[in-house]
Amino acid sequence: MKKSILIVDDNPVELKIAQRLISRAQSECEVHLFSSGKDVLNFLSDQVSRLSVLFILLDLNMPHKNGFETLQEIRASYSNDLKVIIFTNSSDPEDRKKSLELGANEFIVKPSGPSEYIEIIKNLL
Amino acid sequence: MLVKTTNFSSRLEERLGKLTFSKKLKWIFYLFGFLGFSSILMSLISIFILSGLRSYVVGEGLWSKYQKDSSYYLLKYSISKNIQDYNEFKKALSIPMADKQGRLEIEKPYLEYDYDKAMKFLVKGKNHPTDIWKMIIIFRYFAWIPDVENIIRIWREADVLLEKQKALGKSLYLLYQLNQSYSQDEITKITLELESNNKSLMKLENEFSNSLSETSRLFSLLILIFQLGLTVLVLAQGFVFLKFIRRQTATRLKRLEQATKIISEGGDTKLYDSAEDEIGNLTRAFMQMVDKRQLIESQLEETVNKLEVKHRHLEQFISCIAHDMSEPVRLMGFNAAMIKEEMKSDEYLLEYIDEIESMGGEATNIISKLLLYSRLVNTNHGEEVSFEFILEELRKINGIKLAINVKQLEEVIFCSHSVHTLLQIIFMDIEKEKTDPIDVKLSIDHNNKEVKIGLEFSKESHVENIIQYFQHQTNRLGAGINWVLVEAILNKHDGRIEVDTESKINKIMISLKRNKG
Repeated sequence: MKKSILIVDDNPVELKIAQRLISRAQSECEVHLFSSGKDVLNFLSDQVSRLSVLFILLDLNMPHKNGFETLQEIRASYSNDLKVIIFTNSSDPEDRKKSLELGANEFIVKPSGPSEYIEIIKNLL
Repeated sequence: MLVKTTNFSSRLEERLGKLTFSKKLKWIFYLFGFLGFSSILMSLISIFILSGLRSYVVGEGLWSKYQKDSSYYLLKYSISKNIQDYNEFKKALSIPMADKQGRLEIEKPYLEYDYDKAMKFLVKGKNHPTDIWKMIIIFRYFAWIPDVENIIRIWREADVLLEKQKALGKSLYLLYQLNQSYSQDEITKITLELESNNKSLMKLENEFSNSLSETSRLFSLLILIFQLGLTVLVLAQGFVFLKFIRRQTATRLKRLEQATKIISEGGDTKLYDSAEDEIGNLTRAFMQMVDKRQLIESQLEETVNKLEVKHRHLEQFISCIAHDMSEPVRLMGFNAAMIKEEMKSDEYLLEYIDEIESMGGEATNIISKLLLYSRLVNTNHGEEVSFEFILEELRKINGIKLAINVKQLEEVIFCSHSVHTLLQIIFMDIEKEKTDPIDVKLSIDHNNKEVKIGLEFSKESHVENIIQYFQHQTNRLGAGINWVLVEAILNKHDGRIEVDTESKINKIMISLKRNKG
């Protein structure tokens, strides 16, 4: 089964960049893009799909259902085996603390350049 | 009994409450003035009564003298048969007889009594005119006293005997002048009756004198008792009055003092004093002041709350704007970097893209500082930040080579969020100017009151920017948002910054107090 990386972000530019850079860093993984927490939760509801997930990059600030709420639902519904990385523009220590308390595996501030981005993805893989 | 006392007490309190202290003092003065005047009055009454009784003594002496003179002349007449002696008898007898007429006038009921007539008779009885009015007053108004009553009774009885003496004289005169054939036995009988009458009168005179002495002693005793009783009564009243005023004043002042203390400590209390004196006025003025203060405080609190709401809205606005802007600005730089990678052949284009990337980085830097400021002033954020996290964040800043020198690092598990922010500002600014990796020795020392951060830089050029907004804080334009951030942190923690530019190694010492923010 081909492994998949899930990117959850309400910004389409961010999603496009992510898809391009992840493809450049790792061509074997399938990249799935979601513009909301609701969409990713729908995807995870399918067991086959869920088993293919390598990790989830989850943005915090999103309309309707933010990153915290989505993370909370993921941890409440599924096992802790799902690797969820909070991938956000915020460097607020409170956000970091809260994310880790809710069960995020890591808290990464979005990089300012493509090379740093690729470096982060490689480290995660 | 207790109820009566309480009623008396409350009545007294109510009445005294209507008096100012000046009037209360006047009342005390009046009370003691009354005591003084009553003493003088009683002394005058005492002098008057004793003087009146002395007049009776003098009157009795004269009365007795002329009665004895008349007896003497009558006896002489019985032997000499000389009419001259008989005239002397009548003349002497007229003195006590005038006293009798005076007494009869004084004894008359109010409407029939004639003072002038009584005075005329008593003057004729050889009494001194200045003493007569006192004698009349004692006779008319003190006759209810048993001793005075006894004196009057003796006087009446003596006057009866005096009439008898007059009659004996008349009988002897008639025998000598009209009846030429009288016997010696008739003369002897008259003279014996005269002697007997004299003896009875002498007895009454002694009784009169004794009664006068008794009356004088009784009056003295009564006056003394009355004076003493009055003095004790007035002094007791004065004492009760003063004690009540003292107790009331002390209680009310104590209540006012306690209320003042409670109010000064920020508490709330209500104090009522309906009295119209100075303390009552002061209490009411005080409570008016308290009410006014509470009103102002509530208005102030309301204003502060409104300002806090506005401030919070403004902070949220800054935070949202900064956050929302950071995403597109970062992506602009990000995209510029990606274009650069795709179009490596065009040098001119790469140069422009470099500029865009640089400005994007600058904008990202400013926005991140805006976010730092937003977090700094937002008190909802916890003050404590993991020290490990601070170090981790600092190490992410490229080109910084940190020599960490933290005293007892094991104990410095948590550090201030403000320290974190301050260090971020410093190192982000150094990073902008960097050409080579920067050696910085960081030391943190802290206690319950203060956190001290020491920064030692290997090169002077690395701290020029920092000195600019630490040492020349008036140059706001040059320092930009960094100055605002540093000032906010220093204000929040009553902090200070010392820059050592004279030593070879540039050293900055920052002290932030824990008790603020």
